[in-house]
Amino acid sequence: MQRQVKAATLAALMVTVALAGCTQSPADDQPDASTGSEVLTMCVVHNFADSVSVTAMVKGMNAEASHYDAEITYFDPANDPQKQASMIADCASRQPDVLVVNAVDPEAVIPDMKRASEAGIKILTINADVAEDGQQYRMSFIGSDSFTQGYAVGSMIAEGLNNEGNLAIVGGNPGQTDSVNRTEGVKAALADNNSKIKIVAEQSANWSQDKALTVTTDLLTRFPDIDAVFGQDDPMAMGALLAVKNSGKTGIKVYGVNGNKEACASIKDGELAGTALQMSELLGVSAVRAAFDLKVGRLVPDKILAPTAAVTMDNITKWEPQCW
Amino acid sequence: MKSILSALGHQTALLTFLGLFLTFAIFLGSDFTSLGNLSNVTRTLAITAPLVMGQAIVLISGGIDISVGATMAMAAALSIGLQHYGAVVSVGAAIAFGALVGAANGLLVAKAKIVAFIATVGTMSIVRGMMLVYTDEGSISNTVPGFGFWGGGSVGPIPVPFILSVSLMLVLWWLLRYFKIGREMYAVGGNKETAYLAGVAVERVQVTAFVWCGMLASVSGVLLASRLESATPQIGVNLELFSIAAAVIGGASILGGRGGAVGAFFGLAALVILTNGMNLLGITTYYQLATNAVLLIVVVVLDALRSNRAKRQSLRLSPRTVEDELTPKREPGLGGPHPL
Repeated sequence: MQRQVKAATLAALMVTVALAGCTQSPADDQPDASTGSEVLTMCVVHNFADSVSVTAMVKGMNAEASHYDAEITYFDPANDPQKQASMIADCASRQPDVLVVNAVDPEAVIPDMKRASEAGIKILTINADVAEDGQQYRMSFIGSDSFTQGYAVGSMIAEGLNNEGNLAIVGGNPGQTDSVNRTEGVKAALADNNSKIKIVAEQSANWSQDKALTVTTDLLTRFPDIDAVFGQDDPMAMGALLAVKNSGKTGIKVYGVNGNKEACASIKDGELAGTALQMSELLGVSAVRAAFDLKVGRLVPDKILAPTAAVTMDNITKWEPQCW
Repeated sequence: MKSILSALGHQTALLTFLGLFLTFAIFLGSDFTSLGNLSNVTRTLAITAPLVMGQAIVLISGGIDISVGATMAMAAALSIGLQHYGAVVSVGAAIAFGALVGAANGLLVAKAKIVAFIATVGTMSIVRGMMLVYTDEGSISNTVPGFGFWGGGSVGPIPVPFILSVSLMLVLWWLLRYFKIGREMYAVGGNKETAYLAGVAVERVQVTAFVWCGMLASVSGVLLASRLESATPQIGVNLELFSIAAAVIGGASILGGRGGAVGAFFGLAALVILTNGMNLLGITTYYQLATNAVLLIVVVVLDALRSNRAKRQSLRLSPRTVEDELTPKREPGLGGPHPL
């Protein structure tokens, strides 16, 4: 008991000494953004450094940052909502000009965003927005509209199948905004084209390429007369494409969304029928521009939406440089 | 001086924590030691601490609990999802659920004699599946105002969950050291047969340890749900191994019979500070995983070397009698009774 008391006392003394050197307020020691320094400080908490879309966004941000006097710090929570909430709090304590968040989960980040916004920090969301009750804390959402993406694919399908045939949809996480919107977009496009295309199956593959392969194989067995498959993102579309190839059936068209390099290469080779290109790099660029606007006191729109391009073999040479 | 050094030598977790703290304080300066950052770190520590201490308790009693992360997630989901019955009911249900999972684990291990690792991996899958079905694979959010205070609020500069967790730590420390059930857990973990021969109700002790662990994991779940004001499917994923690492840095052993709540708390503090420091230095997630692993290995090896040396010294200095073996030690921490 005595030894432990001694150890604890010594420990307490050491911690006190260390804390005595710590500042009271984080603003004291940092190049102060609030006194109007020229440098634009941005703190970016994306969702996963390994994700291809994040790499493209970061590339866009860094490219645009070189045109301004900007310092951008990146944080990677590896798809963990608690880590992301904690990183937002970290960022807030450093008092950047602008905080940019790519929400891992639309609900979990709201309390820390609220605290950051109440501390006077301007917040932008990019790529994945927060849920409705959190949107009041962010100045703008920079992203792509998933409904428009679905619509672009729907138009490609209508044209590709000549307005007749059976369509199967392989979806992302059930209930997730992007999944729901992309399906709605496809249905709207088919309706607008007065097409007789029937959606015979809708099954989730949770944004996973492997799962899409299994799901599509099963769908092809269950519904032998499928004419087209829509995988709601390119990795899933590639999985579906592999299933179609393995089944030995010819003439089934597969579509995706994203504009990933593998998908674009596949379109060029005549395998994948089409994809809706998301301009992730452009999102990064727009984010930095919006951040600068916020810093100098301009208003920014509630949503800054990047356009979507419907890419097929006909226009692949034009869009290939944008694939990521 | 020598006794101070020897006292410190036994406090591996404390030393690791202090060493890391001072290192980051020197290299990162006010980025690390600012009130905002420390408050944030303390909050994360406080939310995960109950779960880690629960894991330490199970390790002490000779078991292991891989289902803690899943229990935490389901507890978080229940504490949010049942809020239309009131926050008290939803939190109560969450903790009751944790106790239920703990009881299931305990019975599988104690009665059905299934190896703890396997049994708890099984319950982990079942509970995680339940959580995903309950939340429909999405996140659910909070409706009761003020619920966010317990995980997200602060009293002055101190985060509320820190006050709660430190109190919990003191209670558990007191239970483990001064109550019969605590000593019995060390005995069962150290050597089940000897404990049985000494009259300890081994199965009851094992079940109790798992039930406490399940309840503590639920407490962590409720605190996290309070901080995020929502429950998401990602909660608690990979937390199982992290909690074992923290408990082991805190003195626990996979073989049982060692460790404590205070040690586990500081072990967790060490890991949380390490993560925070690495985040501030901009080190990517994959290097962070490797660093956590290296730290764990270093601590375990040093600990093993030190306890081997101590064992050899004590064998030489004091003759051991049968009575010595069967009397529960007053200072648990250097291993259970030697096999006869």
